Amino acid sequence: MPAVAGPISDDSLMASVARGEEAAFGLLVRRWEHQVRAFLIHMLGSVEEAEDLTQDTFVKVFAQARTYRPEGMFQSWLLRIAGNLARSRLRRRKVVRWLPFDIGRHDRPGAGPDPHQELEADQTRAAVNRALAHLAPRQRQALVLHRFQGLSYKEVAVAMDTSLPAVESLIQRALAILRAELKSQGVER
Amino acid sequence: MNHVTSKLAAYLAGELSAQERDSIDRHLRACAACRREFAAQSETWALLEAVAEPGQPGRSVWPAVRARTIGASGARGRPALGWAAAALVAGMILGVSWPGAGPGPAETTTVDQAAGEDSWLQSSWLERDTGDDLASGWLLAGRTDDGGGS
Ligand SMILES: [Zn+2]
Repeated sequence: MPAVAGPISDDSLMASVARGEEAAFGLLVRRWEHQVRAFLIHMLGSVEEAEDLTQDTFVKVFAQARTYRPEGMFQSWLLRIAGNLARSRLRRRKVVRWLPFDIGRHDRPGAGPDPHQELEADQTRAAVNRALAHLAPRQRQALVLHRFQGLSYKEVAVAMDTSLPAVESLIQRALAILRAELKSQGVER
Repeated sequence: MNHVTSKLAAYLAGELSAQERDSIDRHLRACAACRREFAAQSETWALLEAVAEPGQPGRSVWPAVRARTIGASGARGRPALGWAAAALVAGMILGVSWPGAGPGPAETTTVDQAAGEDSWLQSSWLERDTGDDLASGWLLAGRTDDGGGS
């Protein structure tokens, strides 16, 4: 990349990481760690496990930096590593359980002083979390990557090493299951 | 009439072409069953917003990741000390007495302490709030010739 103003591209950073350059690697980790962590929390339902696997993800990024092909798909490549780690962790759990962490619950200043509204929001969050727990790992992965991480279906396909129609079908199926679960919990009509 | 229920998620996701959207819009105007399904799926799609933000951002994993990667090889990014530490360890293995200290555990401690003094790398630029607007010259700070060793 020529010396123009603006952020260094992920592809350039990865070329430096492949040469073992610490500054580039530090920059890359700090640029992406929050997204990886958020993705893993959505996959695992556990902040603690997500933090472990965020570390593991970047250790793998470093180890595999030389195999990275600079095609502008770093985000998908990174989230593929994280996703594989998450699914392997889920497989090792005896039951794919949703840990009792309430995703999305944190102090939101200005969220409104109405305690009834607050309670309703809490109940909705809890219901959505329970519903998400019913998705198969690949369904959850596709949905989370698109809906929460903002990846396009094409990027999700790359991140999951699958086809575009497969992504469409995973997300459609996930939505149907969520809807049925939320309905059974009385959250939806 | 072909129902469009299998296309509604992609529709909500904004993943359809204009032509596909038009065709679904036309179908929805004509088909009450698909309209009901669309309303329900839209509601679910919107409810997901409730868990979109998974809590506060945590502490940076960089120090731990660094220790497990670049830091693990010891010599990376600091060839001079790396060489000295290697010489010290080699001296211990060969049982060579190091000036000013006897062989054994005391020297191990010395090596560990030296390895732990990497703070010059972290204290300046790495502790800054690293946004995306860094000058590329920064990359030179961490350049090493050593490509292998892990
Ligand atoms: Zn229809």
